[in-house]
Amino acid sequence: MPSIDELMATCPLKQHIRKNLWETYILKLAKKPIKYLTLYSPPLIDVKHFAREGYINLSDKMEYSGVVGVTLPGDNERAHARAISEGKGRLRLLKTGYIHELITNGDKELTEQFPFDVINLDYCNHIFGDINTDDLSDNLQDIEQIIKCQAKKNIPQFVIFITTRTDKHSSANNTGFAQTFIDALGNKIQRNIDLDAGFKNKYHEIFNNLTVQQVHTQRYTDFISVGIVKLVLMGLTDKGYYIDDLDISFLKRDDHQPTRELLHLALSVSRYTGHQGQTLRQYGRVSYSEKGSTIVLDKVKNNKIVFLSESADKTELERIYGNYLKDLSEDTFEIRTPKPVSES
Amino acid sequence: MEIPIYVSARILRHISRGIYRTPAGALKELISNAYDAGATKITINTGYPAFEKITITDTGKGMDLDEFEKIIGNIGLSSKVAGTVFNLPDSNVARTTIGHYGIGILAIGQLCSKAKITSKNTGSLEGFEATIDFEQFEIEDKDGITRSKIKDEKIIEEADSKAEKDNKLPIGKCKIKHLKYSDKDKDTHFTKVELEQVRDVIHQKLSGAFHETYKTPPPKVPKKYSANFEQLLKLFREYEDDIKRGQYPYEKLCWELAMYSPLKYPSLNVFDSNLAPFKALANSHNFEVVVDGMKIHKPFEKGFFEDKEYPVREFFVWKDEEYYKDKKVSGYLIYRQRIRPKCMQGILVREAGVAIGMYDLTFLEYPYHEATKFEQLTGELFVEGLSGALNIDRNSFNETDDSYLGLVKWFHDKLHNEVFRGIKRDQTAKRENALESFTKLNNQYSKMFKDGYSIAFKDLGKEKTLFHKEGKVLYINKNHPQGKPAKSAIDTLFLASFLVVSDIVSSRKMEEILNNIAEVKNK
Repeated sequence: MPSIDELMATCPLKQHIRKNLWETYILKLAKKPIKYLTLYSPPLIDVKHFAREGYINLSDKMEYSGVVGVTLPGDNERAHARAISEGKGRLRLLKTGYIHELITNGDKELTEQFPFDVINLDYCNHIFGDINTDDLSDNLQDIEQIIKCQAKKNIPQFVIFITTRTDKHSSANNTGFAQTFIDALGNKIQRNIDLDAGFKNKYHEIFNNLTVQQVHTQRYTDFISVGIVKLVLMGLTDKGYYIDDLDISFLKRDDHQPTRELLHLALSVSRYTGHQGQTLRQYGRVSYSEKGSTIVLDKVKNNKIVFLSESADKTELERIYGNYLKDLSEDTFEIRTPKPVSES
Repeated sequence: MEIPIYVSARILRHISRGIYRTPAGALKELISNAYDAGATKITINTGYPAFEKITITDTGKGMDLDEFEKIIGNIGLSSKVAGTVFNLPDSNVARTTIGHYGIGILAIGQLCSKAKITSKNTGSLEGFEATIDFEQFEIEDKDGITRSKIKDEKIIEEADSKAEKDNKLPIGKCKIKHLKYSDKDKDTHFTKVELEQVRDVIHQKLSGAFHETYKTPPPKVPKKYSANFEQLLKLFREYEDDIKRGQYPYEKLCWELAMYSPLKYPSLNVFDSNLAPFKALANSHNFEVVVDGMKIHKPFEKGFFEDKEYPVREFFVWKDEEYYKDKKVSGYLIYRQRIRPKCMQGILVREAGVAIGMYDLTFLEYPYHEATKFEQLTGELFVEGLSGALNIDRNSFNETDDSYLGLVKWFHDKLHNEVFRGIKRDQTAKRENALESFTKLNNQYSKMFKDGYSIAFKDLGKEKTLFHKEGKVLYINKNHPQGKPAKSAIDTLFLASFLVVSDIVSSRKMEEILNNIAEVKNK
C-alpha cells in the first residue's frame, strides 16, 4: 500500500497546489534555474514537475543541478534507492536526517549548498507541536536552522513553502496539536494585539470582538493560519527578513481515513535593508516585520484562503492533472517501455 | 573402434551456476547483449543502496517469442557470430558484434533466483513476458560455508544417464505470457530484464556486507554524494586503497561497468590531438549506458591527461597494425610519472570496444624487468579478431590461442623496441639537457668561485659522499641519491656546490642538508 507521502505526491489536489500556489511564488523570483531544497519523498514529483516547467535544470550529466533533497530518518536504504529510481537523474545532494540536526552537527555537504532560492518543507504527514511529543517540533527547528543558514549567506530574497497537518487537538484520540502548542500560538497572537495597534485594529475588524480563544474554537483554520504565519515570522524577523507576500491553501484529505487537513503556506521572503528603527517616512505605516501578519489578516478578511477537498474537487482536478501526473511518475531515468493492452 | 566422448551434466551445472567473477562481470554480459542487439541506450537500475531488485532495459531490436524460446532452450547455442559488422538501424554507424555464446541467461541466473524478461521487436504488436525461475540452484549454508547447490541431485543423474539422447541440462523453469500492444507502440522495440530476487551473495557483494564474514570494518558511505559520474571517479581515485579493501563496493561496480562497456570517452583535450583516432574509434559506437540515473563514460577523469604536476611525457600510438594473420590492432600507451587511480596502470585490451579483464600491470606477462616504469604507463589496445581467444566469461584469455600469442608477441616487440627504448632515450636526453644547463651556469659564474675552482659531475660510486674535492675541481657524485643531474635538481645542486666551493658550508654539512630536504620532500 502506498505511503501517505506517495498518495499526496500523485494527488491531483496537490498538483493544483504545485501549479497555482508554489509556481506562482517561484515566478516572483524571476529566476531560472533555481536552487531548490526539498524534503525528498517518493516519487519526487515536485522536482520532476519543476524541471519540466524549466525552473530546475536537469544537466546533460543527468543531475538535477542545484537540487538538494533531505529525507527523514527511517528506512534509509530504501528511501535512497527510491530517490534514485524515481528521478530522471540524480539530485545534486541527498541527505538523510532532520535538517536542523544535520546543520547543528556541522554537515558541511549540506551547509555548503546554502543559500537556496526555494525551500519546500512539505511535512505533509507531520504536525508542528504534535500532542505526542513534549519537545519542540523537529519541523520548526528545521525552519529555524534553515533561516539561519540563509541569513548567513545573506540571500536578499527567497521563497519558502511550509506544509503541516492541522488536525484539531483531541486529547481523547491523542491526536492533533498539543494544547500547549495551541496556547503558545494564542499567546503569540494576543501579544501582537496588545503591542501592535495596527494588528489589533485589523484583528477586531475581521473577528469582531472575538477573543483569541474564541477565534480558536469558532474559526479554527483562520486561527491556525494566523498563528503559524506569526510563528514563522518570528524566526524570520530575528534574522533580518520579512514576508513581502504570502498565500495559504488548505487541502482536506477526506477520501481516506483518518481525515486530515493540511495547511500549505507559500511565503515570499525578503531581507530587510532599511533602518531598523521607525523613521519619519515610515511613520504611521506597517513595519516591515509586521507586514506578514497584516497580509495574513487581509487574506482572511477577503476570503483569499483557498480550500480544497478530495470529496469536492478530486474528480475535476483528476481530469485536469491525472494524465500529467501519471506521465510524470513514470518518467524516470529508465527507458520507458510501452504498456501492453492485453496479456494471455 | 571409436568411442564417443561426453561431458557430464555436473560440468554443465558447474558452468551454469556462475562463470562471472564479479557482479559487474555478469552485468557486462547483459550490456554486451544489448550492444549486439543494436541498442543505443541501456539503463541499469541497481536499486542502490538496497539492491533488492535490478532492472536492465535496452533499446535494442528486441526479440519475438520464437527467438527467445530458441535462446533459453539452447543456452550456449547462439547463432550470433562475434566480430560480425552490422549497421545500426536508420544510420551509417557500424558496430561489431561482441558475443557469440548466447549465455546472457546464465548471467541472469548468477545474479538472481527469479527474473522477468519482457521484450518486443519493432513492427510487431506482440511481445512476451517470461518469468524465469532459477530456484533449483540455491545458495546454501552448510558447516559455515556458503555454496551453490542444486536442489535435486537427481536432475543431474537423469541428465547424465540420457546424455546420449539429449545433452541439455535443465537449469530452471520459464512461464510465458503473450502481450499485445496498441498500434501507437508498433515501432517500439526493447528488452527489459528485471532481476527480482537478487541472490544473497550478490546483494552482500554489492553492499559490502562481507565485512561480517571477514571481520573487516563495515563498508563506508561515500563522504561525498556522487550525483554525477565525475564525482564518482574522483571518489574512486581518492579512496582507491579503501576500495581495494572492500569498501565502496557500489562505486567499484560503477567504475568497472564504465571500464568494461563500449562507451564514449569524456571530453578530454588529449583526444582531440594525440589520441584522436581512438576517440573516433570509441565514439562511433553510439551507445549510452545510464546506471542509477548517472550517465557513465569511459572512466577517465577530467584532467587525467592534462595534469600539470605529472604531465604526459611520451605518447606511443599504433594504428591498424597486423598482429596475426591479417588481424589488426590499434592502441596507445601513455608514459607519465604518476598514474592515478592505480588500477589504470597497465594495458587494457578491448575486443569490439569491450574490455577483457582489467588493466594488466604485467603487460601481457612482459618478460623483462623495467622497474617502476610499468606503473608509469597506461593504455588501451583495440583488437580485432580475438574473440576466439576469449574464455567463456569473456574476461580473460586462453593463453594458448594462436591469435592471442600473436598479439602478445606484437605488443612485447612494441614495448621492447619502441616504448622502453623511447622512455630511456627521453630520460637520457633529459639528463643531457640538465648537464648542459649546469655547465652553462658553471661557465657563467666560474669567476666568482674561490681559488679558481670549477664544478663537475662524476660517477664516484654509491658508497661515496655527495661532494668530493680533487685538485681545483669539486665533483658531484652522480651515483649519490642527491647527486643525480635531473632537471628539477640542477638549481639546488648548483647553489649547494657554490656554497661548498666558497667554503661557506662544509661539504659534509651540505650533504646532510640536502639529505634532510629530500627526506622532508618524500614525506
